[in-house]
Amino acid sequence: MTNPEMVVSSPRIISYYTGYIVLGTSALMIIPVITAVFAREWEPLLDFIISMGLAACLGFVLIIFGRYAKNHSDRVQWKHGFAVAALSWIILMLTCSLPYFLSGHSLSYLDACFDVMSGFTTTGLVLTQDLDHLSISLNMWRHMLTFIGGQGMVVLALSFIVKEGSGAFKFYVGEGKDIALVPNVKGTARIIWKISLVYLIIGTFLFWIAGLMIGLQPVSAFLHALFMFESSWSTGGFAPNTQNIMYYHSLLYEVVAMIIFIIGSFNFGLHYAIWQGKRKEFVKNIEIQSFAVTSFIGCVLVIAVLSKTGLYPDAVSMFRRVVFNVISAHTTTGLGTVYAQQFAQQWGDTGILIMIIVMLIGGSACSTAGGFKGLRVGIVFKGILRDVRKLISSERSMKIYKFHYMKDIALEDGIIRSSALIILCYMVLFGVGTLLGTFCGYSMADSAFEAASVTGNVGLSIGITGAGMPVVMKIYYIMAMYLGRLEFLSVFALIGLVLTGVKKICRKYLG
Amino acid sequence: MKLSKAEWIGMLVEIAGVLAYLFSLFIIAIAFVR
Repeated sequence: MTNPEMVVSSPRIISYYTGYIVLGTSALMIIPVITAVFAREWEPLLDFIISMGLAACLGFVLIIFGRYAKNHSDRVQWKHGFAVAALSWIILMLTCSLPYFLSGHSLSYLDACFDVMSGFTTTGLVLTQDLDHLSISLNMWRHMLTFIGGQGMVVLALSFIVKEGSGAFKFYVGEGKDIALVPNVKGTARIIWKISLVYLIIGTFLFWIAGLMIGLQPVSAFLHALFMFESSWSTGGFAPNTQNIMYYHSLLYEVVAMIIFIIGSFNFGLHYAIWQGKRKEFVKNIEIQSFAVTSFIGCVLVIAVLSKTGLYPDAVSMFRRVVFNVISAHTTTGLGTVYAQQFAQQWGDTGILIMIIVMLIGGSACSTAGGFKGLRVGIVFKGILRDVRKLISSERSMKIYKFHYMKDIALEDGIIRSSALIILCYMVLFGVGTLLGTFCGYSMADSAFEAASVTGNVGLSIGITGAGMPVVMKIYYIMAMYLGRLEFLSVFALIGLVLTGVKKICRKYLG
Repeated sequence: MKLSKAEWIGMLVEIAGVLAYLFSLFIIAIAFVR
């Protein structure tokens, strides 16, 4: 008789739920398969069928290995939730990159993995070759990945696969989303998808109209609209063309994109509160205040610097080049209206430095955006203000300091410390990325720009990212995108579990 | 996926707020580039 204490071990629990997420994501390949049939793309169709089969097999193997965990959902602990989220992202990167690799548009499997991680983490950096001639089905897959990655694969799985009560909230938090919109976590996941799908319909329609106005054919305009919406809403940065959003040469297209990626960078809790009629939240929320202040200052500074150079002679071109790119960087979108080399050669050190700062700050927590988030910047800033006020006020004063984040929350030392620690982790990741860039022979400014772009899941490039960059940098950038998106804790939990397992095995066999 | 009146208004508030913010940035651009 098998002892349940023995069989329902951590690896089995993690394997069982990871298997479901892998299986669910492989089922999503049905969408590019259907697209390939409609577009009569027979070779990509075969690529997707092969990839789908392999991913489904892997999902089944993981579920079968962990099958004993099925009836022991009460054993799911926080560490399992974190590890499932972290492990799912790695396995999904490996399975979802198969269609890229089989298409022949990636020079190596590592390049395919880089593009998939870039999509999942809503970064938007690309190593795929000949982007202008990708099949429609592969473009559908690329943009789907970034759209799903923005909402979170675990959130998707929670909506449809995982049963309520089976430790669902622990998986949800593991993916860096910690707001319970409704007491039921499955309900929360469904609200996130409802908000995204409503905006999908409205945003795609707006892009479609803008596409028709610049002369695209209706079907082509629809596909471009769908891809650009998925990319903008998820603060991703992918586009179906090498020239990114510059391909469209349209102010209207750019304004629609800006509206969508700014709204996409908002916290899902904020969307829900406003949709529930709490409209004052829009101005009271600490993240909105933080975003408005930092993005406004960023835009004004870059406009001030570049207006002296005469680079953009009129207000419209200043708005389209500077405001678009600063907001795109701040919301961690990465759609760009200037070429990589123009940043390096025309924006100057001040312009690049401001872009680095806004890229690192990023969007809102529990949103599709990356970076260390406006919430943490706001908390640390208010923490500094609190300490200064305490120093200059009477020693007998016992004032409680608060910040507004859906509700008034007391500004406690623990909250400030955890925010500062996450910011520190981001800065270390950014610092090491910059160091690695300089070690590989790139300039300090270029290395810092690209490191900030991957750490904050932005996707703007100054020219370093390309198929020819050193392998060590590709691997580090994949790791930085992954760590930045999952906000460290899940990955640390996975590493901790692996090390504990290794330690146990060593003890068992080495005495 | 039917939206209630409050949800429609909420969505319009978000879009209007973002548009107002972008317009303020456009005014800044006009102020600097004359």
